Amino acid sequence: MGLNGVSRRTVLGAAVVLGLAGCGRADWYPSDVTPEEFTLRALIREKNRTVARYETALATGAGPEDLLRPILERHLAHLDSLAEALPEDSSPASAGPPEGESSALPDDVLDLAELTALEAAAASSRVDRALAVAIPDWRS
Amino acid sequence: MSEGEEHSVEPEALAEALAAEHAAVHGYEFLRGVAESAPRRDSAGEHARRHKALRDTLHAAAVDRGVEPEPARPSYPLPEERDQASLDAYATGLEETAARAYLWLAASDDAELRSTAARALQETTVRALRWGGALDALPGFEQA
Repeated sequence: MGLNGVSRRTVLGAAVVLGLAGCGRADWYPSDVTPEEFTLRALIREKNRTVARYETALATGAGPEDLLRPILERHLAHLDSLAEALPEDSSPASAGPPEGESSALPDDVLDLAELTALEAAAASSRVDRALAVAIPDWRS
Repeated sequence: MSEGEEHSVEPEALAEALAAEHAAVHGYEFLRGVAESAPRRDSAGEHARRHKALRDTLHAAAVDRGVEPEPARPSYPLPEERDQASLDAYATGLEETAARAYLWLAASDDAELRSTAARALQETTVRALRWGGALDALPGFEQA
């Protein structure tokens, strides 16, 4: 069983990374990064893009500030928590996006309906990735 | 799920999630009876139905995986105070307990359980917010 000999805190960490944060690829990770770090970095990149979407929407008045500002702040708090979860000795070189994935932040403006769709898609993506994630051998 | 297929399951995590659902069903049925306002009674009824569905899903998952599902207890702790704020806090607590259990279950090696747990964790986080709960950056984590 996967839990034998593993602290609950460790398992919870694995759940956030593997089960909820999801990973970009189910069956492949760079050899110099753990699946957890790979997953965290993928989520941080996605979260940075979401933050940029909200900042642009606020800057251009695409939606009411009293609605968008608290959501942006929640995303920023989440981003901080994800960054804190990265291993202290992780390599900065591993922070970049995988080959073929752009690191540029989006600058087009989304309206409220599109931001809502973005959030729904992100939530759905977490579940999909939880389903697809590959469990490394050391956990089985 | 095919017959005879082997699963890697975490019985403790599955049992804890099921126990949280039993408690939530009991708690929301209580709330449906004591909440002062019709909207709160309706919400309690809606949430009781959802938790019953999740309870049944987890019960079936346990049976499918050869894990003996724990039955519901005859009773669960109820709030001493019956004012609105206390009842809302009680409902939030039911959801937070479920969130912690689902986070644990989301670490399962079993993809179907991970998916169920991830979706349920999202749902329970939203329900906690509806009852006035705070939004943690990482819902379900035990706070330091």
